Amino acid sequence: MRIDTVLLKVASRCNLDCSYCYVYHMGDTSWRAMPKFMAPQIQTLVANQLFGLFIAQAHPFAVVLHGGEPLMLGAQRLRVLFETLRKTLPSVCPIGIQTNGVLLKPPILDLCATFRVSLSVSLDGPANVHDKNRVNHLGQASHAAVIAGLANLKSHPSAAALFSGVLAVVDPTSDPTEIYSYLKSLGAPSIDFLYRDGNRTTLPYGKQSVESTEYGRWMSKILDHYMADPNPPRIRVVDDMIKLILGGACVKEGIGLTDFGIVVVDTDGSFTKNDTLKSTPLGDRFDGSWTIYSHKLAEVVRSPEFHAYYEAQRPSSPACNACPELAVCGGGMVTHRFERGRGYDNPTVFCSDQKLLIERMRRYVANHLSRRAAA
Amino acid sequence: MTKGSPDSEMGLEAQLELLDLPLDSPALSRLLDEVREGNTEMSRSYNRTYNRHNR
Repeated sequence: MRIDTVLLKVASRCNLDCSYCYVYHMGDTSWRAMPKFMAPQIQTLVANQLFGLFIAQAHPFAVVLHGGEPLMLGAQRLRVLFETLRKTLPSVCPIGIQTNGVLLKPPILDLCATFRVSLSVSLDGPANVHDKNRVNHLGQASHAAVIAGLANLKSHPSAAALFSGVLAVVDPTSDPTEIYSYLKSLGAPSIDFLYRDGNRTTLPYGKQSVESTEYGRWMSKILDHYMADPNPPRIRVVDDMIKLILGGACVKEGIGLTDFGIVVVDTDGSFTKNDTLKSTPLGDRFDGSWTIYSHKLAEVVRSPEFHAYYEAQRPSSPACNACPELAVCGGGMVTHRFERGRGYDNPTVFCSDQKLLIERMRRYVANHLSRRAAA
Repeated sequence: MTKGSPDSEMGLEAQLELLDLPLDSPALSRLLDEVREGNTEMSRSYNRTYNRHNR
C-alpha cells in the first residue's frame, strides 16, 4: 500500500458557498469546529511527517492544498507554508492547489511560480451554468471573478508551469455542446469533469433513479464532440477511460482498478479519510482519532484501520465483480456507492451512466480501429 | 439529445449508429499512440492533484 495524494486542508472556510459542496452542504458539519487556517506550527509538523512518510514508503506523493479555499490564507501565510513544504519535502513531490479561482492575483501567482506550485481552477462552464451553483455567501455570482483570475493565471510569465487545468462539475440539465465549446475556448492544458455527489439513497442532482442515465447521456455528448474534434483538448476522465479500454493505464481516482492512496490532514492536524466521504452519513473520520500531535502519519498508514479504509476502495459487490466493464469503471468513487443499511458494498449510483458511456467509447474505438485496419 | 433532459434509449442508439460514420478521431489517435508507447508517466497536468473534490 502506498500513499499517492496528501490533501492538506489549509483553510476550513471558503469565500464561495457553492450549493453542491460536499464540505458544507451534504450533512457534514465538522468544518464549524475546525480552525479557520492550518497554523504554522501544524504546517511544520505536517511537513516533517510527510518527509517521514516519503522515507518510509520510498516513493513520492502529490501534496494538494485544499479547503475550503486554500488561497484564503493570503500571500504571506502561503509563502510560509510553501517555504516549509519545499525545504522539507523532496522536489519529486509535486505541490498543487485546487482553487475556485476568485483570489488568483499576481502576488499569489508569483509565489506559486517561485515555489513550483501548480494550480487547477474549478469552473463549471459559462456564467449561466457556473453561477447556478457557484456563488458567494451573499448569493452573488462568481463567474466574472473566476474569469478574471484565470486571465491573471494565463497571462503570468510562468503560466505554462502553473496552470494544470480546469475542473468542471457536471450539471446534467445543461447543454453539453455549450459546455464543451466553452471549456475548450479557455485554452486550459486539461479539462476534467466530476459528477455531482450523491449516493444510492440520496440521489445526485438530476438523476431520476439509480437506473436512469442522465449523466451518462450528458457525458456521451461530450464524448461525441471530443471524438470528432479536429483539434481536441485533453479531457482527463475520458482519456483515462478510453486508455483502459485500449489496455493502457489510468490516473484518475474512481476509474479503473488501480489502488489510490489518499490521506487528508485537516486544519487542526487530524488525519482523515478521503474527504468526499463527507457526503455520506458514515463520514470521513477514522475511529482512531489520529492527529499530527499524537501519531506519526507513516505509522497511521500501516495501521489495520487505515488498511481497511484503503481496501474499501476495491469494489466488492457481486454485481461489480460480475460486470464485464469493471476494469474500466472500477466501481466508481466509494462515496457514490453508499446505500443506507448496506454501506458501500454496492455498485456506484452512476453504474447505468458509466455503462452507457463505456459502451459508446467502445463503439468509437472499434470503429476507429476498423477504419485503420482497412486503410 | 441536446440537453441532459431524459431522452429515450432508442434515440441514443440511433445516435450511436450515426457515430459509425467514417471518423478518424484525432483524440483517439493520440490515445492509441500514448498507450502503444506505454505512456504511463502522465504529463504535469495529469498528475492526479485535482480530481477528487467537488468544489
